[in-house]
Amino acid sequence: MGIRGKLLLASLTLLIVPWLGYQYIQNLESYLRTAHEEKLIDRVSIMAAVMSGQQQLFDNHATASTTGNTQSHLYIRPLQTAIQLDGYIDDWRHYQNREQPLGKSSGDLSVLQRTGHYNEFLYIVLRVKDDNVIYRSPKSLRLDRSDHLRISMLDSSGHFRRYQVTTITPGWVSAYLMPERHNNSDLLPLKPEPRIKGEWQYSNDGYTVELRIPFTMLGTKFAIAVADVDDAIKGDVKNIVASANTENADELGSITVPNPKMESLLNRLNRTNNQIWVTDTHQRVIGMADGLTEVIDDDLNEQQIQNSSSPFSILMKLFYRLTLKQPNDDFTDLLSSASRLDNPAVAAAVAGNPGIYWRTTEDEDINIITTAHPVYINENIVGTIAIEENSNSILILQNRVIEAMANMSILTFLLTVGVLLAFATRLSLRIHRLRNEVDASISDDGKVQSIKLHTKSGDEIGDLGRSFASMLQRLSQYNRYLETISSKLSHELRTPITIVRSSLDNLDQDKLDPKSITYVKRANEGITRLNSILTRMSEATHLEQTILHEKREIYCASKVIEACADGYRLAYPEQHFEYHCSDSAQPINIEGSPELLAQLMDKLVDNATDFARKDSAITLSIANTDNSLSITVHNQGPTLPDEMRASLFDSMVSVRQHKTDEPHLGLGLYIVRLITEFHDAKIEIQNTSSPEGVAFKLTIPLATT
Amino acid sequence: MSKRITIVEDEEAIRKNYVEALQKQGYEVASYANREAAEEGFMQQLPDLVLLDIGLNDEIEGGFELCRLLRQQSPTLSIIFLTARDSDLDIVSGLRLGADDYLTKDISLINLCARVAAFFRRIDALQQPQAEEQALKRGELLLDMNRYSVSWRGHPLELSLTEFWLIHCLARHPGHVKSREQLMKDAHIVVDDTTITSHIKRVRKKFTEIDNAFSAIDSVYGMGYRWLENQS
Repeated sequence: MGIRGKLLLASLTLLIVPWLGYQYIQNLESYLRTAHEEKLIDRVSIMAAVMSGQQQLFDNHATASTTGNTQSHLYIRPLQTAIQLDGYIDDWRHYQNREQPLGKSSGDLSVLQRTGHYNEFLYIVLRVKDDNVIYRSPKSLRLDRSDHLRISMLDSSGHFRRYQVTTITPGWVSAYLMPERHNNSDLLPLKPEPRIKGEWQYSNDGYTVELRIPFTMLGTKFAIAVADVDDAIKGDVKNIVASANTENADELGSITVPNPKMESLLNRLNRTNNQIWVTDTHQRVIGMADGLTEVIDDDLNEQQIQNSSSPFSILMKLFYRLTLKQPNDDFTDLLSSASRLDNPAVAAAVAGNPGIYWRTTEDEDINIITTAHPVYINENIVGTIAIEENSNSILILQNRVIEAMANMSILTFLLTVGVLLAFATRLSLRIHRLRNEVDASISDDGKVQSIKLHTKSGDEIGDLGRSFASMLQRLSQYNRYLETISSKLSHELRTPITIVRSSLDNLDQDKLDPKSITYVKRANEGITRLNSILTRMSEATHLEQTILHEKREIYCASKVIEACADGYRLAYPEQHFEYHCSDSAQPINIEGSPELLAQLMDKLVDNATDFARKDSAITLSIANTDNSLSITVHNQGPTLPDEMRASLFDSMVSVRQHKTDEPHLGLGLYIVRLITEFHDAKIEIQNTSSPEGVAFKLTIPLATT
Repeated sequence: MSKRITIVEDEEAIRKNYVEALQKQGYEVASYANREAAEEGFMQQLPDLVLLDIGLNDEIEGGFELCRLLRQQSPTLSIIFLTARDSDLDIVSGLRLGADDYLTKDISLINLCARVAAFFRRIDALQQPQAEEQALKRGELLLDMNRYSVSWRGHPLELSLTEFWLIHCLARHPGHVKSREQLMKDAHIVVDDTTITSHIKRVRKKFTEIDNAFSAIDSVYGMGYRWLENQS
């Protein structure tokens, strides 16, 4: 793993930032809730104060609220349009959320009801689930020997009235006024009541009845019941479900028709996204304004999505839509259609304290907060006012914070990672470059070629570069020292040798006894040998200088080599030489110096003769390809150790095992290298197997003509 | 009158040895150990021949300075560099400053004396009218063995004694290949092969300055050099 990978890995720790942010937002939610609660409490207390000035709004309910059945209550909400009394539920489809069970289901009988008012009429639709619908026998006068409805009320003048509705066939129905006392002897209807009308229709699992009752008939108390008869012969009532007991005036439930004054007041107080109830002291709804399910922010969101031009933000929005809990207004809240608020907050308000209650809707999608406050009139609690608001505003706020934070985190993360990546890339590039430069500074054979390191930057890499540079500098100085030590040594030794030699020369030989003459002679021999060593030692240096001033010319290599071969036959009479040329007719032109090439050949042949097996031939061969020429000097004899092959051309390296009279300093092949470089050529040493021996192969580029 | 020789050499042992050896040959020898003393001496009287070391104590090119000074004073004075420095660059620099020869210190005293004697002979021969002709003629080449002078196609060449002897060695037996060792021996010098090659190159250059088509000195690769008489 490179520096880049490691830095990227390290940068993953940055991911802790969005996590911390998320934790913070979780805390934020509780703060937001508290703030929200306080805000709502403030508002509801203001509303309560407003309501306390509206005494007459509560007066209507004063009697109803204090006596009789306080549990059953019907709050009639308005309808947008008139209901066609046709026995079908289609007209009510917008009011699905108002549907509530009527009383408690009993046996196989269960009833769902929806209510509403329009233009001074109360509309009720009852969906009765009954496995066996019994119709009134046309012959019977009794209304209670078949499936029937019982409606009881206190009329506007306070009289208890009982009505029954049944039919001999599905279709148009109307109610009959029943005797006040429900006695066995007195079950026949008194007279038809045409003001209560309805339509009775089949349904898949029973029947549906739509009823219309004018407000003029209604007082403050009301109850409705469905009686089920399953045996047409006996006609016994088997089950009854009822909103309240229809038989006793005291047990009737209360009914509240919205007071237009109350409605308009509440609508003025209302805000778009909350719902306001006014209840009496029995938590019965006596007025409300409904805004809870209205769409508040979604359009804005859609607009934002559409307006934001960058694909990134659209992508992010979509991402958040999928991952975050979104404000959801498509929920069913049974309470909002309830006529009685069985809510701890309202209960607390009835008791005299402001109440707060959090709940979730049945589908658990939305948190709803209810705050309630008692309404005082003349220091008596006459009712409560309650506000419900869904938590969409909190959710939206929270989501916005999360989105903003996530966007920032992602941007920061990407930016940091980008910067780190760029930085790491640059670092690794610089290190790569330094490595390549250092590699390039030293040739394959270990010679320092040129020191071209980028060492200007002041940081650690620059420091490393400088350290490499100075290391290479020292290495190259050391190499230079090694290469020049022979010439320096020869120069320094020359003076003492001259002293010895001139002193010996000054000895008057005639005056010496024969013994001394022998010693002087031996001393002279030693001096001569020393001299020849010195001469060889300085040869390489001289050659370097010569090469500096040598002029390049184009000459035929094969002629030079051939001449050399002839020369060697004379110079080494005891050695056999072979010369091969692949194409002797054509001149093979190369660029360089023929003298130097000959000198190179001298060294190679000198070397070859030293190692050649006796009676074996030294082979000089030339072969040329399209753009290069190779000259090979091969001798049979011991092969070279592999590890020495590359360094053999360095100064002062020698692999000679046996001692010879001639001094060997390992400078011969160094000279070969110098001349090879002068010719831009390459030289390599190969061990040959059959016959065993060593071949020096010189490859020289051909001159371009 | 005996010839006067001045030796400028910072190494005392060598200086004294040289002085003694040359005195034995009957020369009048003066010696100086540094440049200042030598300059003072030269102001008073110029000798016939000067042996100069290049490095004088701390002055690594003190000998060159002296050579330049002497050449200004006398264009005919014989100056021989006798030094431990044997690089091509030093040889070329020395000869370019007007020295007559350039010897390395490993020369034996016998060789040195022979060379000094040859120098004086050359000076004497140049001063005296042409007596008997002791010349070696090889085609266009004419070697005067008394004056150690060489001419090609009638044009005289300015050659150092070393160079003269190299030509002489080659031209004595035209066509015979002379190895570098033989050339060194005849020129009374002990140098390496590269230096011999440089000498030969310099000589060739001097010839080609007179005659562009000169090619009488032939390189025999692997062996040495030979004089081609019929080449012109």
